[in-house]
Amino acid sequence: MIEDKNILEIKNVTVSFDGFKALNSLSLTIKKSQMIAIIGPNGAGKTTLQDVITGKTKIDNGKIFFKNNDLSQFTEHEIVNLGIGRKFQRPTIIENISVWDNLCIALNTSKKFFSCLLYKLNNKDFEKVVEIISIINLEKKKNLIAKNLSHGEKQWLEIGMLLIQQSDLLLIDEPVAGMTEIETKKTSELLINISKDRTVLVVEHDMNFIESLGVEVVVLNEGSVLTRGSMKNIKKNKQVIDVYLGR
Amino acid sequence: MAVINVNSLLADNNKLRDYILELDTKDFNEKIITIENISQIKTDLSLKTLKSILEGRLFIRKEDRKIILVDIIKRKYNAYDFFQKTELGIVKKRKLKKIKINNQIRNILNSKIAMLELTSGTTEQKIKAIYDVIKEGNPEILKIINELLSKEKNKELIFSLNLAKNSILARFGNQTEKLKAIVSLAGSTNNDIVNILRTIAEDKSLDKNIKIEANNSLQASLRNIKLNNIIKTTFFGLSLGSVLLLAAIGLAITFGVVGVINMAHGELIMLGAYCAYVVQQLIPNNISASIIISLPVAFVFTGFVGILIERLIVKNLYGRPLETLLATFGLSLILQQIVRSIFSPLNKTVYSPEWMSGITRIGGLELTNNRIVIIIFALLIFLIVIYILKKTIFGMQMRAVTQNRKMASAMGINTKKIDMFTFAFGSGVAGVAGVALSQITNVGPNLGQNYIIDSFMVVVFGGVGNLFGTFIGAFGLGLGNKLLEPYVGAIVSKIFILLFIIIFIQFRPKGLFSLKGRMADE
Amino acid sequence: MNKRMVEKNSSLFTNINFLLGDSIGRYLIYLLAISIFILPILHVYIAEDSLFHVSSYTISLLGKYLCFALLALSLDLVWGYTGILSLGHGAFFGLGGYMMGMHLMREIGDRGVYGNPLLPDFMVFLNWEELPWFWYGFDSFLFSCLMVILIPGLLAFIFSALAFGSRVTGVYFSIITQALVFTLMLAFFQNDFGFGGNNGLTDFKDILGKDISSKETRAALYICSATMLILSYLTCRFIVSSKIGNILIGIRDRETRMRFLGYNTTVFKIIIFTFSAVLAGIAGALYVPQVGIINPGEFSPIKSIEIVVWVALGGRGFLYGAIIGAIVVNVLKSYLTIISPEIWIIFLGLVFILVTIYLPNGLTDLKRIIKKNIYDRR
Repeated sequence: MIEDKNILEIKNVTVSFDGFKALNSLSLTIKKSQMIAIIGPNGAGKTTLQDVITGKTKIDNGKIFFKNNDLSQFTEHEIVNLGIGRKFQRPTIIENISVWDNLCIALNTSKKFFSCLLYKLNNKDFEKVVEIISIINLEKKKNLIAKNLSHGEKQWLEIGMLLIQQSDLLLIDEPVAGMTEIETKKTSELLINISKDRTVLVVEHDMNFIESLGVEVVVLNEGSVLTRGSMKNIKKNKQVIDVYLGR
Repeated sequence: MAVINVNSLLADNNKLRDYILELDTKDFNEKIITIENISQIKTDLSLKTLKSILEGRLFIRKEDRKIILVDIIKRKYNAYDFFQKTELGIVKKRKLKKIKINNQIRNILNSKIAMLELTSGTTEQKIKAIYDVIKEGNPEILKIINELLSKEKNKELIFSLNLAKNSILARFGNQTEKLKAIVSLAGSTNNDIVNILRTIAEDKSLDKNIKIEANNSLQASLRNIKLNNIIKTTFFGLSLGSVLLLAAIGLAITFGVVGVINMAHGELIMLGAYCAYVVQQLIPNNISASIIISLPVAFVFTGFVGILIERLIVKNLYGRPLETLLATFGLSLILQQIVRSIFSPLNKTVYSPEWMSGITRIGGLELTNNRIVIIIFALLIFLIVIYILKKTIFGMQMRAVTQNRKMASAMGINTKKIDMFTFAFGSGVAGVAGVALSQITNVGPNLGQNYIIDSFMVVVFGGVGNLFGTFIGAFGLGLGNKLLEPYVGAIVSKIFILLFIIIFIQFRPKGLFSLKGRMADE
Repeated sequence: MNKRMVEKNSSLFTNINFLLGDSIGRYLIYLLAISIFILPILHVYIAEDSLFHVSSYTISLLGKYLCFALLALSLDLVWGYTGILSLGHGAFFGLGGYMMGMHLMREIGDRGVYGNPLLPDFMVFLNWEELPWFWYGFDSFLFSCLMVILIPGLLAFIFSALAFGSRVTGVYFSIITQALVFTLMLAFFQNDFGFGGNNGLTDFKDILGKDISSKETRAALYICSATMLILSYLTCRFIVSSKIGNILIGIRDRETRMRFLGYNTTVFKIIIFTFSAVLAGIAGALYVPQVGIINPGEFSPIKSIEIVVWVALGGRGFLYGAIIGAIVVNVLKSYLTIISPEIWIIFLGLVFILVTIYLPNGLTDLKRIIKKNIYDRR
C-alpha cells in the first residue's frame, strides 16, 4: 500500500507561539529508508519541526503520523520508544565513560534498575556494539574516555548511540557544525551508510555538505515547505535564491 | 529623680535608725506611732524598712544595737547590715531581737506601704504599684486612692487610679456603687480585672442585675483581649518577618543574580554586627551616632569582604554551584574562627540608642520600640534596594544578567564585573542587616549560624531571583511562625514551618514567585 | 574483536570480576581483613603493659573511624557517582544510631539510676508513667536492627521520592537536605519528644547480654564494623561495576540525555539514595555502642557537611577515596583538636576551600599534580 511506504506524514501542521506562527500549515511526507536534507533561513521552522515530531512541542492544528501512529497521542518518552531518535547540535554523550560504555548504555535492553544491576553483555548485544562502533569508525578508540575525543568523533559517537537505539527515523540537527573538512567528509559517508536501513532527516546550513550527500532537499520558509527537489534544481530555484541562498 | 542631697540622706537614715530602735518596745500603740513616723520619711530605705518588718525579716542585734536584715535559708539566719548593706554571715537567733507585730500593725503596714509605693517613685513605679493594688483587692486602700485622685494631674495615673478604684468598688461597694463600677470596667484587658468580673458573674449569691452587667463587661473585655492578641501576633509576625527579610535580602541578591549559594552569608551578617560593636567602642559617648555611623561602615566593610570572596573563591568555581556551596562553607568556618580569636568567643554587648528603647503603648497593647524600628528599617532597606535595582544603571545590568546572562553579555554588559559588584552589593546589604540585628540579638561569633538556614528558606520559598518573592516569603514565614506559636510553642512552630517549606518546594520547586531565566542549576 | 580485547576502561559487566580493576580497593580490603584478625587479639589477649597491647580507647576509636568510613562510602555512592549532593546524610546516620540507642536503653532494664525495669531514666525523670508506643519492640535486638534499616530507609525513600519526583535537584536539593537535618535536630532536642532530649540516650550497660564496655565486646564491635565496611564496599563495588555504574555517571553528568535514552532517572536516584541512607543508618547503629552515647548533636547541620569534606578530600567517585578521606580527616581531627580546637576549625575550612578549587578529585589529584611536577622538572 502507498501509505505503508511513507514512514512520516505531516499534514497541515500549525504551531503558534504568542501569535507568531512558527509552523504554518506545513505538510510533508517522507518515505521509508530515505534521507532528506532540510534547509531554510533562520526562523523558517526547522527546529520547531523537529520539536513537534519528537513531541517536545504540542501542535495547535494538523496531524503527524509516524508508522501510522498519531503522534499527538504519545509522550516524548513513548515517541522515543516508537522509533524516533534525535541528535541535537551539541553532542550530549556521557563524557566521563568510555566510547564502548556510551554505546552499551544506549542499547535497547531493559532499562529497569534490577535488570541493569544484573546485566551481563551477551553475545547478541556484543555483536551489535561491535557493528555500530565500526560503522562510526571508532573501533580503535573503543576504550578511550569520551571526553578525549575530538569534536567530530563526539558527534559520530552520538550518532552511534542513536543507531544502537534502533530508531527507524533519525532527526539530525546540524551534524557538521564545527567539524574539520576531513571530519565533514567522513560524516557524509557515515550518514549515507546509515540511511540504507533507516530514514534520516538532516537539518543543515552547510551547502557543500548537503550536496555531498546527494539527497532530496526540502526548503522551509516562514513555517511551511517552499519547495523540494534535488540540490541542483534547488540551487536554480528563484524563490529559494531570494529567500535563502542569495542572502 | 531628684538630685540626692547627701546630707539630707544621712539625716534621714539617722532618723530612721532611731525610729527602728524605738520599735523595740512592748507597747504596740507606741509601735504604731513609730511606724507612722517612719512612713513620713519618704525614702526607698524607709519603704524597705516597712516591708522588711512586714516580712518578719528586720532584727536588732542585741550586743551593739545594729539593725539587721535576715534571709532565712534552710533554717539558718543569713544576716546583712541593713544600712551598710554588707554581709555579716550566719548569726545565731538568740543574738537577735525580732521586731514583732500583731494583726492590727500588719494592716497598718500594708496601707502605709501601699501609700508609699503609690506616691513615690517614677510614673512607671507608681503604675506598677497601682496594678498591685488591683491584684491585692484591699478595700482599705480606697481612701488613699480617692485622695490621690483629687490631686493627680498625670492622665495615665488618673486612668490607672480609676481602674483601681472601680476594681475595689466592684467587689466591696454597695449595690449602686458595684453596678456603676462594673459597667465602667467593661472592656478592660487587665488580667486581674477580667478575673474579678468573671468571679462576680459566676457568683450565685449576688443580685441578678449585677451578674448580668458583670457578664456584659466580661464579654467586652474578652473581645478586646482577643483583638489585642491578634494585633500582638501580627506585630510579632511582622517583626520576625522584618528580621527574616533583612537577613535574606543580601542572599537573594547574590543567589538571584550570580547564581551562587554563599554559605558564608550568615558570617557577613555577623561581621556587620561586629562593625556596630567596634564603632560603639570608638564612640562610646553617643550611642545614637554610633549606630547610624555603623551602617555605612558595615556596608563598606562587608561589601569589601564580599569582593574578596568573589575574587578568591566564587570566580574560580564559576558554573559549579555545588562546589561554591562547599567552598563558602569552609570560608564561613574560617571567618567564625577568626572573629572568635580576635574578639573572644563570648557575646559582646551592643547598646541601643534611646529612641529604640522602651515601649509604645497603644490601647491595652505594649509594643517594644526596638521591634518597631526594625520593621521600619527593614522596609526602608528593601525599598532602597528595589530603587537601586529598578532605577540605576547598575541595577538594570544586574537584572539583565539575572534574566538572560548570554543575552546581557551579547549586549556588551561585562557579566564578570557585574557578578563581582553584585556580590559586593549583596554582602554590603548583609552587613547593614547585621547592624540592625545587633540591636535585638546577642552579638557573638555564632550569630551567622542562627540566620543562615532561615535566610535560605526565605529565598528558596519566595523564589530565586525575585525580590518581591523574598519580601512575601519573609513576612509570610514570619507571620506563619508567630500564628502557630501560641498553639504549639516556639520550637515546634519552627519545625512545622521548616516541614512546610520542605514539602512546598516539592510541589513548587521554583518557589512562590519564580523568574523565568537562568537559575543556579540550569 | 573478541571480548578479551575490550579491557581497562570499558565494561563487559561480568560482575564476578568486579574487583579486578580496583587495586587500591583490594588493598584496603586486605588491610581491613587483616585488622579483623590482629586487632581484637592485641586488645583482648595481650597484657596491658605490653608494647603490642591495643587499648580500649584505641580499638573503639578505630571502630568509630570505620563507621565514619562507611558513612562516607554511602555518601560517595550518591554524590560521587550520581551527583546528588546530600548535605543531610547525618540524618540517616543519626536515626540509625537512635534506633540502636533505643534498644540499648531498653537493655538497661532496672539497672538505671531510678531502677525502673521498663522506663529509661529520662522518662522517669520527666514523670512519665508509660512507655511511649514508638518504644515498643525495641527490647528485641532483631526488631531494633530492622528499624535501623527501615527508619532511615523509609525517610530517605519518601523524601527523595517527593524531591526527585518534583525535579528538585542541584543546590535546591542540597539546601532542603540541610533543612531536613536541621528540623530533626530541633525535634530531637525537645525533651518531650521522647528520645532523651538534649542529653540523648546514654549509660548503656550491655548489648546482647554482654557488658558493653568489656574487652570482648569492644573487640566484637570492631570486628562487626570492619566486616560491615568490607561487605558494604563489596556491594557498592558490585553496583558501580554493573551497568548501573555507568548509568549513575550518566545521570550525574547528563540527566536529561539519560531520560532520552529511556531511563527513568527518578527511580534510579530514589533507589540509590534509599540504599545509601540504609548504609548510613547501619553505620550509625554500629557507632553508638562504641562511643556509648547518641544525642541530637549528631543532627547538627555542620556534621552533615563534614561528611562531604571526607569524601571530597579522599576523592569522589572512587569508593576507596571516601574511606581513605574519612579516616585521614578524622585522624587529623583527633590530632589537631588536641593541639587546639581553633586550629582544627581553620584547617577544616581551608580543606573545604582548597580541595574544591584545586583538588576536585581529592587526594587522587595530588598524585597527578605531583607526577606533573616531577615530569616538568626533567
